[in-house]
Amino acid sequence: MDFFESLTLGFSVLLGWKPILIIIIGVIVGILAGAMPGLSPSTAVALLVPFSYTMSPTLALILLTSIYIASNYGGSITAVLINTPGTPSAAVTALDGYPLTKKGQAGKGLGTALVASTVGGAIGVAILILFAVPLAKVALKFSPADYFALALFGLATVASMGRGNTLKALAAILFGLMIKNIGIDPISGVSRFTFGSDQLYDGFTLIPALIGLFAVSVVFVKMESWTGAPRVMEKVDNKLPSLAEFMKIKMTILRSSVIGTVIGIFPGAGATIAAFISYDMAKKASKTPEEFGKGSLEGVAAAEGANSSSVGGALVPLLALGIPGSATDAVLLGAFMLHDLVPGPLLFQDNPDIVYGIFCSLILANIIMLLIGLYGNRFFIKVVSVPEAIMYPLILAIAVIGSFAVSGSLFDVAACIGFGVIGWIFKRYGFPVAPIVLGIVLGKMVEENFRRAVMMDGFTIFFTDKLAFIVLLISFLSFVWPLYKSWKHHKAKQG
Amino acid sequence: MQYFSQGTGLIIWALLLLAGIIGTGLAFRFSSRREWTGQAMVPTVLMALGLLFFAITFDFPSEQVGPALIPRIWIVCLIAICLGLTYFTAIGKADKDPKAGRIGFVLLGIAVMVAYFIAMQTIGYFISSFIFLALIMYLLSWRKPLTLILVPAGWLLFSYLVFYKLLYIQLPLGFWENYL
Repeated sequence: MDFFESLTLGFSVLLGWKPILIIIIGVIVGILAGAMPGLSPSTAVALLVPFSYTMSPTLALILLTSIYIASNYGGSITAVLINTPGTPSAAVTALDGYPLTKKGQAGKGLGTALVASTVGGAIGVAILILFAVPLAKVALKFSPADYFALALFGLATVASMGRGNTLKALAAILFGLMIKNIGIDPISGVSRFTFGSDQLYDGFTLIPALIGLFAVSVVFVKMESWTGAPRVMEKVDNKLPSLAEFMKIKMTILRSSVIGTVIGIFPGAGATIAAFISYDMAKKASKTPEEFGKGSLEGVAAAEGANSSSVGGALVPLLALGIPGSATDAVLLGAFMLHDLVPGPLLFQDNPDIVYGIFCSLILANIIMLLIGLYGNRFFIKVVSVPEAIMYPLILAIAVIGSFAVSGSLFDVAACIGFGVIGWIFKRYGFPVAPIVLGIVLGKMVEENFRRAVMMDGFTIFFTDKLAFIVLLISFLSFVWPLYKSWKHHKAKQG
Repeated sequence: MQYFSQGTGLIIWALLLLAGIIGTGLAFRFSSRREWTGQAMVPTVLMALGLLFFAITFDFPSEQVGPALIPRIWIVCLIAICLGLTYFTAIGKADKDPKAGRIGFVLLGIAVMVAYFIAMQTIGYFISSFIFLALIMYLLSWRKPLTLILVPAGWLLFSYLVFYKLLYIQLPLGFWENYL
């Protein structure tokens, strides 16, 4: 099947009212979830996975990816209006978005964020299609040693999630990897660390663990700093930026979209880093850099173009290689598994309808996001203003029923609460939780491929297989580099 | 190490590790580094967990590329990193513990969740969820009686229609199962 035939197949999946309705629901839910401070895209997707159980795999993944792409725009709404980023990456949007609101130009800020997000999202999807398809074809020839090296590379780059504390990020990854070892050994069938419990034979179920780490922990964190003070929303004017203003920032949007996609491809880099780098580059390239931080439309466009386009980039390693590039991708990987699908090159071969259906739905989701965003901001602001005393109990209720629904087991509910407590403790002491998830998700892939490679060709395979050797070398450098940087930073601080 | 991998040996090993965790906590709490106690406890607990799992790996079949190999690699790396973290904490180079917020409130929230989990098995999902939601909202200072009833009732209706009827999830009914 050639490329255009595959794309036609992808669009044919979207024919009918059901997929369109699912995309619309996904976009609305994504924008709302992104707009709610404390709910990241990964939390939103994790909480919504249980609602997709009885859907066909294609529709389920269309729903979840629509939520993913729209939540990045949603994050900008509260960032612009109340200086509280709905998602971590929207922190960069707030730098210029909130000053615009203070000047009474909230509409301009939101309009710029929406258009930049749409263009960024579309460019990200285009690059995703262009990169993922050939990469998947090449990946069909990968050996277990190559896969081991790639998975390890994914883990090594995640060390960057530590944001200044690489050791804590590494500890979190290793904790996740250790947890993944619980259960039956995939190769020898030996039961490991189950303590005689039948329920642990398959290890911890992924979705309840994700919901606990991402959603339940958020509620505990909020409870610790609970004041009960209501959120105060600014009034929104409907005045969008003029066409002339859009023309002035068109290059910024294009540049930041490309930067965001490329950064998104690298596992662990993610939307926040993409937004910061893009913002910095936009400032350097701007004719009016002095306006940055004071309500520059270029600043908003740079941040939003980059964080939305990073979604397409991050989906490249997930779909083509089965390696999640971000925390949300790890949740999506869990959703794939729930529907008995394994992302990677074979998915392109065996289920092209699903892969191309996702591609085409992402294109459509961007268009729908633009339309809904243009007319729905007032509605979103109303919903986001729901008191936290109602919102957080509902999050806990969704978390509990969602964990139970995975396999109808109360053990999963207990695991979800347990992981929620672990997530709260980790966050409290500055340990990132996303690396735990990536450790859990990639643990099996790393172990199986490592042992298969060694059993087939011995330990020397990692030196004789060129691709594996190069990737391992890069992994080693990306592991050591942040450590070296923090050591140098520490030395400079002492000096 | 084989002795500590199962049975009584494993229990002794676990108790020793527990003593180590408590000892570390006390050592930090009553020293000049008391503001770093929490920062030291997280890696200490992770290390103890790693050591417990490490001992258990000696119960696995011994093969060159067997089921113990990968867990041991992860555990050794985890312990090395946690030692590094504890060292930086001990010399005061790590971040201090965050200011204590409403920890009692969080613990109360966790206790309510655990009670909800237990209640689900006895009085069933629907009644326990209603009480849980109303209670958590009340704890979060929501005092409007009508909303305290309508929100949990709305959630129950939603979960009944979506999960029970549409997705066919057999939610626990507790002792009601005998009467329905």
